[in-house]
Amino acid sequence: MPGQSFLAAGLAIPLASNTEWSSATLKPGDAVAMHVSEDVMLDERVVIPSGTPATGEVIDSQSGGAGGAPGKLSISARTIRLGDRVIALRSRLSAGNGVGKDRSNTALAVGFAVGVFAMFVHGSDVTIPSGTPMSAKLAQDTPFASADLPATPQP
Amino acid sequence: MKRTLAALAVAFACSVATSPTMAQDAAAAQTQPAPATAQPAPATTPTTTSAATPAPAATGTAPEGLVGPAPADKAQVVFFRPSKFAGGAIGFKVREGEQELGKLRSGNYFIAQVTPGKHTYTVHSEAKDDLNMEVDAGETYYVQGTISMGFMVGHPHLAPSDKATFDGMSSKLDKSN
Repeated sequence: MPGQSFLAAGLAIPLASNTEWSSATLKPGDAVAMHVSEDVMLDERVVIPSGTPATGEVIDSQSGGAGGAPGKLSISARTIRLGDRVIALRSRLSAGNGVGKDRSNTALAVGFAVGVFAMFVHGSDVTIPSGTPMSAKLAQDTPFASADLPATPQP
Repeated sequence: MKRTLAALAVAFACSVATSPTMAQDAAAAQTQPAPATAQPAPATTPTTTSAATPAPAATGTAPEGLVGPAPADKAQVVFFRPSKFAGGAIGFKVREGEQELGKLRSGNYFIAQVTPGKHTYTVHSEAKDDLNMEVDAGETYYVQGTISMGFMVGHPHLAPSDKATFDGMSSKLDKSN
């Protein structure tokens, strides 16, 4: 693809939640706000800057019930909005920023005793603090025309 | 009469043993390390070629442990239930709508291959519990079944889990028939 570079499908994009998420307040179908938490680079240039808004959707949200029933909160990644451009993400939203360690099998779906997110279970509800690092994968190859690549600011 | 007494005994066993047991699960889960399988390259790594691509999987397509890789066009969901004394005599069926996917007894697991998208899995005894999930093709998901105390019988629950939790107890799990 001459004159065009692309981020490949499956590339992990580091994200963070904008607000606290709680199974006490969120309902299935609610949109949740996130942002890209680190610059995403291509050909030594930033193509998706840190702070770029992203969205997710609540798939399941249940407060804990009587008798020790666990609370549940499942959220899927949806899109990154880069100016007028919407970049699709695979639904799986994973714990951690996806950089350095593989956490691809720790989906952002929290029950009573679930991996790294067990620490966020308070009482019968699941609460994920604002700024919690996570990651999602690009749904498809995402091209950037060379002319569109902004120059990376030098420190 | 004998059945009623047996059910009461099970309910009592759940009431005295389930909460501390689940608390132990939570504590154990907090200390589990992150899974250590292959991972796409970090997004922030500068690339010198014309494309930033995920790193190739290190393990190829060979099955790992009890669970092999998901097919490229399907997601797979691993349903498992820890081996526990409390509620151990109770088995429950996992359904999606009217379709029975499998049965979970204490210390069992089974694998369902499903179409990508949203799914609702249900278990019930005298109470019902639903788990809503959205799954991607080529990915593996883990769901843990548990029993909590009920009035007459234990209440089954489904909760999202992860590979590390499953791997930590896989040596004590048998595949459901």
